[in-house]
Amino acid sequence: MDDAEIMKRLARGDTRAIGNLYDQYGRQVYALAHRMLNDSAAAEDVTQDCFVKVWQQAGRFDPERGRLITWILHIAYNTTIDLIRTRKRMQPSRFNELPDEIDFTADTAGETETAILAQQVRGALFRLSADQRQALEMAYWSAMSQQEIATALAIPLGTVKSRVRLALDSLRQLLLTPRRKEVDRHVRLPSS
Amino acid sequence: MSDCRHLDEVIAYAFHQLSPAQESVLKAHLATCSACQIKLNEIMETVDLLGLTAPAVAAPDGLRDKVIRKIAEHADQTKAKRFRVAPAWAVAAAAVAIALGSYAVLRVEGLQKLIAGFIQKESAEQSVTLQGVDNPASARAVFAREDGGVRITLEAQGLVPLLPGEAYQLWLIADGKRINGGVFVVDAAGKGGMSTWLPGEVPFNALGVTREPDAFGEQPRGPKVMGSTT
Repeated sequence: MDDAEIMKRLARGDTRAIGNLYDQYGRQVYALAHRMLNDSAAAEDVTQDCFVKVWQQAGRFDPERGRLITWILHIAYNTTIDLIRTRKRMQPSRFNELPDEIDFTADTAGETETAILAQQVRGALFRLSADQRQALEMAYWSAMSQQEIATALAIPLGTVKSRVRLALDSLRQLLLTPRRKEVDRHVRLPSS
Repeated sequence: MSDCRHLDEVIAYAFHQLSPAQESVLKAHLATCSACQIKLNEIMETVDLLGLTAPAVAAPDGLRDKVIRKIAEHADQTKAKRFRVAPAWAVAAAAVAIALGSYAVLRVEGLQKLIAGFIQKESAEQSVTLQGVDNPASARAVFAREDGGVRITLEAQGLVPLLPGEAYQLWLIADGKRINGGVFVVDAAGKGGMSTWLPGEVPFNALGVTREPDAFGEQPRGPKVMGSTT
């Protein structure tokens, strides 16, 4: 069952389709929440809440506006941020570099396409300067304010803002310009 | 189009780094600055990709079942909110203008004829017209019986484009209670719509549309923008 069919079923109120959706994207949702919370139980809660919201808003997803995986991860990210704020527990930022390889075993065609996209994003991140990549990752993963990031890195607030701004511009150039979309099509798996 | 001087705040907003007060100020600015609206959309397209780079970690055994069970519980709660239409009650209620806190119902007297017709007719479709509250928006909601429930289809125009994350939400008012009728967004021209299915009978004596801060509310939180008329 492809993404479009799953979302159509969910929009019609068919809760049975949620299992298919979880099989495609559940691991990514849990991984995002776990990365931010460093807490398995809390990551489970976020995953459940995220899929409830996806089910409730299935009719709102518009495939013309973007990929389903990024739509779901957007919901997961916001849900995780809400939990962090609710619990007032600001996890210390992880200054670690991303691993050189993602240990990701894809069980479905959807997961394989997602893994390819993830590798493209990682590849683009590694083309940023170390300073820009660090500032961007802290902004996204740590739920810290810009001032908190500046304090943690012992750099001026303006420098944080500049690094994040430049990082976003560079990532967009690398990932979302028409030239990159052509590369996307080139590596996309043929449908079975 | 050159960047607005509020670009850094827009970026901070995308990363949830603003305080509630700062968010309010920025949202007010976004409503008037197309450069920042465009920039925010671009930033969100990029930011949403970052979630893909989370290091893989095995989800706990049983999480899939928990997710399915939780959604089944929510689905059951939705089904439990069933109402039966009482024609006399619906007609009487339709004659009363009801003020519901921040959510005022406009001009419902014409609905009594519509509701009576909805109950009596065996064919599925009925439609309700909505008009803007101090704005030129309009909409048409069509109710059709389907698979033991009701399919609600709404088409709207003339609405103000939303900020990222916001949604318009349809509410069915019955006996002083608001029932979530679905959410939708609009395009740059202010046109949009939705189609949703609710189980069982779906009574109402008024309809309204509010502008919500997000698409996940079960009660109105934002201002009303449209209300039902004859």
